[in-house]
Amino acid sequence: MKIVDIFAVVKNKLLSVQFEHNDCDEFTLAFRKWNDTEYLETFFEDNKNDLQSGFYGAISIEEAIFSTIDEATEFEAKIRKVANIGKFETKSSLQDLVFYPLHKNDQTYKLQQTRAYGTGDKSWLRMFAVRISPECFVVSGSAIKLTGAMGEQDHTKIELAKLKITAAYLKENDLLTDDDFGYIEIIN
Amino acid sequence: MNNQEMSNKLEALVSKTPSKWIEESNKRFEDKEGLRYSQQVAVRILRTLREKKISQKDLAVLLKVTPQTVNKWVKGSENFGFFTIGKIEKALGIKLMHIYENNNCLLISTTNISTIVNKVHTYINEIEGTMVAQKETKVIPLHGYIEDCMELKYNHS
Repeated sequence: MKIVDIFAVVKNKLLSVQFEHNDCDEFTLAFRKWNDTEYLETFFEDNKNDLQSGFYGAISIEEAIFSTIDEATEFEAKIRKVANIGKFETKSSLQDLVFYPLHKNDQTYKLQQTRAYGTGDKSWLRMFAVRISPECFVVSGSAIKLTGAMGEQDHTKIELAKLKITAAYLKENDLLTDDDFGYIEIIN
Repeated sequence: MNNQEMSNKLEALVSKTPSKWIEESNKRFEDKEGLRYSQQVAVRILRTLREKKISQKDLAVLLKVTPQTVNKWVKGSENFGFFTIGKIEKALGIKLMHIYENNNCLLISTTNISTIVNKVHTYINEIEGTMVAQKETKVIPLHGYIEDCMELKYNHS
């Protein structure tokens, strides 16, 4: 898996890499998938056991599909707002609302973690990103996370690998000094 | 690394073309309502195909279209025409569309929604008033209440 390009979603604030064999960056791909009914129907059928394990309550495939589309739309609206404002310093900023460290014992972002778990919301949409400055993120992939921990499902394992490749790419280009992985948790 | 340094490095690395998301997202938001209908039709087709164990290819053969066309339908962004909808309905034995006629349904406009809401509020207030009055004035011993219920049940049966 190789990165072939990097694009700006919001200049200097939200970037996303493109892997070889894809025709767009990972951020674009995430919203394509979350609006693709065929992809969603297959995904929830393939992960029916996880879906109906009770983590998100009893939910049908149809409900899961439309709940994903609705959440994606809300998330997209939020990003569009930030993209139009062009800065991340407001309360509606992506950084303030949705970025959380991948490793739960990471003390650096304890405050944000507290906020994440305090909302009581149960969104399963995730974007994975490497943070290169307090206000700048590079999206490496996305997932629908039906289980508790990262890496439990095959598709989240792949995302972890993509996150590492993205971090290495940013290091090569002198944009990253520390390992600062994370995921963007969608909270509506 | 300060902000200026980072900005310079990003300028050199990041593509001059913006992310495709911007254009695709604009389209999704412009066509939001129509897109929802398309997604609903797509999910109905997908669930029917799965339930009846029919592949997308089979449906393509049945309707004399290419498998790529059927695949476009089920992705949830196709702008279906009435004739296509009719053909899919016939082939799968399902209903995908229903047109509401004025004389067969209750039309709720924004003006009569507020009238309905006001009437419901008045009704709830009346009921609540009675409930409070009952609570304040009437004490029913539990065994008496159970007996009353039994008698009521007996009289009804």
